[in-house]
Amino acid sequence: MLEHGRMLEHRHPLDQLAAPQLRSGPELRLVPVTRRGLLLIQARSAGSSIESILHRTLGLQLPAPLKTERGEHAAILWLGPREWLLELPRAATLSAYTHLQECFARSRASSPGESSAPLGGVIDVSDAFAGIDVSGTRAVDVLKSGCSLDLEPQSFAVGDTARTALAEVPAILWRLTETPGPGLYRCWVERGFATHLAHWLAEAPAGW
Amino acid sequence: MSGGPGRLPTGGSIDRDRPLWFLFDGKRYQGFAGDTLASALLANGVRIVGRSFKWHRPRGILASGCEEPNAIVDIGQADRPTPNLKATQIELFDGLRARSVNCWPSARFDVFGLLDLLSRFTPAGFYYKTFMWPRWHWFEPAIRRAAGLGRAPRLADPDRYDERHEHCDVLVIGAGPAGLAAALAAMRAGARVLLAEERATLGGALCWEEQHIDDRAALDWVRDAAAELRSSPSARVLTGTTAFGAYDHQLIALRESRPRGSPASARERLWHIRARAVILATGAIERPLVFPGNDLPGVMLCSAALSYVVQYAVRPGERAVLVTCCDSAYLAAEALRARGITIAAIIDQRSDPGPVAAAAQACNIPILSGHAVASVYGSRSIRAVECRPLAPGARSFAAGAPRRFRCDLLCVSGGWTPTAHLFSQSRGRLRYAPELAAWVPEQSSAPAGLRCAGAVSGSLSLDECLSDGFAAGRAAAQASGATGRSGAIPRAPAQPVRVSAFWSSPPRGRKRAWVDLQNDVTRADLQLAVRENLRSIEHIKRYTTAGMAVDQGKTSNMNALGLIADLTERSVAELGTTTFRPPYDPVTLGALAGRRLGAFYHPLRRTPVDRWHAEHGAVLQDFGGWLRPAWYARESRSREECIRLEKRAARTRVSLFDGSPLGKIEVRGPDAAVFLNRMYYNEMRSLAPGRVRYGVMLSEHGIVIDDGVCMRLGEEHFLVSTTSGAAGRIFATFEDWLQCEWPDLEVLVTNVTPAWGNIAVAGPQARELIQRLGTDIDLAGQAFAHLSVRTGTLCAVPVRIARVGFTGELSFEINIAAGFTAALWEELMRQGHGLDVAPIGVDALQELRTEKGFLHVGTDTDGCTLPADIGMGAVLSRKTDDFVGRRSLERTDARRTDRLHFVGLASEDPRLVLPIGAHVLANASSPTESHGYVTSSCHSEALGRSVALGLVSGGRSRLGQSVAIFSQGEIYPARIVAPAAYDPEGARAHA
Repeated sequence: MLEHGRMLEHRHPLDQLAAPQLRSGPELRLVPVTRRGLLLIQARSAGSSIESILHRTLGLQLPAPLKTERGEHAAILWLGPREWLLELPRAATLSAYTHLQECFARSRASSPGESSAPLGGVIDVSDAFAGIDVSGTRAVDVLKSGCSLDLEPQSFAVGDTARTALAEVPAILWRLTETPGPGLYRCWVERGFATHLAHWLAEAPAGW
Repeated sequence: MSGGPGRLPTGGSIDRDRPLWFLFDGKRYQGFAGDTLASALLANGVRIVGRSFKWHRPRGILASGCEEPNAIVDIGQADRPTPNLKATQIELFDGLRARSVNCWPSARFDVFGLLDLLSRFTPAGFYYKTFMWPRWHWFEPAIRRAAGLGRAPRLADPDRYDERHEHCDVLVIGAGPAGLAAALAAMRAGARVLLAEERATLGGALCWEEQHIDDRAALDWVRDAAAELRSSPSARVLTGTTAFGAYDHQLIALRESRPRGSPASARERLWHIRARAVILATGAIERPLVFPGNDLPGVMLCSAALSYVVQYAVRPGERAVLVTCCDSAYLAAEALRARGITIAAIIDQRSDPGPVAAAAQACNIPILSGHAVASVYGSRSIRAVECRPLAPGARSFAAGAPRRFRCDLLCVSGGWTPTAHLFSQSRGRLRYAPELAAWVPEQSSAPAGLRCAGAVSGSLSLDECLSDGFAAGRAAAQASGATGRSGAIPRAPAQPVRVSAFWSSPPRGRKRAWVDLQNDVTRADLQLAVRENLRSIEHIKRYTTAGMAVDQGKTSNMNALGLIADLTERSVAELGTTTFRPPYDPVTLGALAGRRLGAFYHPLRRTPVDRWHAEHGAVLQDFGGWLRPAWYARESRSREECIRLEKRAARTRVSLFDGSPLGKIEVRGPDAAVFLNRMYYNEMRSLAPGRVRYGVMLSEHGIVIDDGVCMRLGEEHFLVSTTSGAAGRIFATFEDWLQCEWPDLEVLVTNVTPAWGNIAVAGPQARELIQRLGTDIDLAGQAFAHLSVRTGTLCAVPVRIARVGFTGELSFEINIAAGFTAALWEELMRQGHGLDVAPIGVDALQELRTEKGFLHVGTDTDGCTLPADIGMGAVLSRKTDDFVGRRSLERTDARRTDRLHFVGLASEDPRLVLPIGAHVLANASSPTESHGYVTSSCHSEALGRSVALGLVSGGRSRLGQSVAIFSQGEIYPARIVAPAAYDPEGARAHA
């Protein structure tokens, strides 16, 4: 699942959506997130070894709750207590996955006492989610029609993230930059709901 | 362009340059932009606008706002109306078509008006008494048809509705003087403010009360305040927006309506507001007085008459009499007189109206203090009113000559009832304020963050409203952390408004005096209820239906409470008040549904192969929240034929099934085996790496909740399959046990369902097909036994392949990253062309597994099924470890021998497919007792006969017995057999 097959084509769930189905005006711009990989990092209990592993591997700190840590190519999203989503270029996913897995295994093996190092794990969930970047002058209004969080900058600043319900389905929201302007929100939903979310966003009432 | 005979030549806030045409009950009229339907009807002299709910009495416009009980209309096309809108709330637009409700053929001439003659036989609760013989149900349809309001639309609503979640520091509800002052103060202090006003214009009563604020016309102040708010980036002003509900945690729901006829992409928008502070500046509603004939068209609230005259430049009558027990009526008298309406008299219940009467006295208007209305004259509209002097105490009329005044407008003002609905919905307590003769919010009982300001809290004078609102706005802003300055408090001349508690003229004769106009409840109905010994206000309300109409008694509750208190000789405070419930004003179902229509109603997951399915004739249906192929349509073939062909492919050649929705949960860690051994009924610790075991999971009650295969990928690594649609539920159960009960277990669980696609390749040629694609996994039977799992590559892509299946054939389930699944599917179809491969849908799979006797949890089990009931009792005796549900299996009930067992049922007639749901009869000759039922059933082409599964009482000990199966009056003979009808030895899957 981690490298492209010679014969089999890897497909994004929104490939099939034709251009007119996704909006691209100044009010609302919807762009599928492609070529990004996702690694889910979990720990059974709190401990600093995961932090140091991630820091060594990616040069990133673990984000505070409901925050993200962003590096040049990769970002870590806080998903829950002892659960993080590592977003990185798809091409770099396999090596990062292998490396992290080794690090987690080594950290347990090298710890002298039993279960003194927290159990940590990494799973490739690149294909489990589909992302849509939502931007434009009406982006926040459209999101507010299907999400009950306060998405204004005072409460949901750049770098903030949240697991929430968007358009009736579970979603991970992340504010990448200021919006309106060039700003945008990134919405990750379960792959099976990608088409639903794209349609829902694209058919948002065009003005009031 | 006059806009109707009742239109004043000048004045009003209407746009006389924009005449609009509209239809009411088929007749064409003209109004202006800025009119409501109610003001335009009054301008055109239309007095009868509807018929009453019960007796079909002609009714006219009483009010000018959302409290209107009479002027209810349907608008729009006949087969697609928007029913039960209030004419007072409909902003006029060109081409509006409105129809009165509960009448035929029209409000003016209503055949059902004859029902009024029967009113003596239809008092409160008549349906409990009068029409009981011989059967109420004979009369019920006719009575129901004769009563009611608008017609439900027959066609779908073409309008779109929107929804918005919004957060702010201060939500101000109501944009009258108190609300505007509050919003200004909060906004200037720096708070994020949202101001919601139910009317189309800001200002509330200032739109018709000609007052002064800060030494200038109040409307100028309103205009400036609105401009200041609208230009501020931190304030949002919503007009036409009703706050209809206050819910837990101070969630306030608003309904914003766009003017009908405007080109809007959405007709209404539902707002969910979560505010740090909420200010209720909802004002007060003027209440009418109870006297005989008070429902005649021409009877109108003083505030309404004032608003029609001042805001809409409409004369609701030529010659008016005012009836009151409070100061407000005198303000109205001045404004009406100034616009050419003759004031024939002012009838004031109070013996001394006080200084407020001075202006009227100066104009020689007769003021009859200490008088009340004794009767009115007119049948379809008011013609005259007769008043009499009141005896001391106002419980009866004194001797003395009646005075009669000719009039065509009777303005009533019985005082003001605070609009405390949202306060009460928020669980705030109300307190009876005798000086206002009304229930007012008890501020000390308000939930944190909720404030009342202005008339809703009992402040009736403008100056009080302004200072009250301003202070509330400032305090709310500060409480939310804003630190700016709010500036100076707006001021108005002090002008107290005095109210006296007076509900009803003393009863006189048999003439009906209405308390609740919308539900046709009279004073006599309340008397009847009290006479029948109903005491609690909650009981009297339900018996008489007073206050239970769609207006929730906005104009009637207070009078009903006062009258009942008098009748039962208690104070109003002792009597108490009824409960306010959302919605404050009716909300359309469209607004509540919002965008949750069609595909958005219940979003379904799509599999990675979704597009191929759709392009190849798949009939897609909802299975456990996934949109999946039920079967694949083939040209000119029936559903049954298509399913038969799919089954034939699986049994004789090779088939593909998209099993991507199958739940997949990874369980990792040193304690993974221990954990799964506790979660599964079956033994899982002994499972060897690379092997697969079927298992069921139980609830704590021992009930079978899910089944599937568990694969051991490594010493500390398992992959659990759940039923499609149960992945989320089982994953949450795992987390629940790990987080709450077993924090000591070193286990990580991850729901990876959407990350993986799953294709089941089944049939005698399955091995051949997979080999054609090229794989490094040895598929040979010796190397890769049934119930094993292997990791490797297929088409050079990493895969996990498990030898498991639901068909009973040689079967490989391929797990591959979701992104590659569609391409793999297409490749399998291409390479399988020569093998005559066929895709199969859920329907065919269900029939295949029915033939094989494989159980489907939820179909072949119910909410009582224990593992022993499905033939897995032996596992319990071999497993020594504890597991979820174990203790419940020790119950006496779990050991009953007559429990429903999972068995096969074979119809004696092999062509007959036993109906699913048909009952197994305990006694073959009479269908009186059930011994179980058919759960799955189909025709098996492979066996050349029908097969069925079912739950039968004591079934496993009755194998071979004949039973009678009953369905819809027919009895079918059948035999109880073992579940597996096809390949009972399981040789094919092990091939």
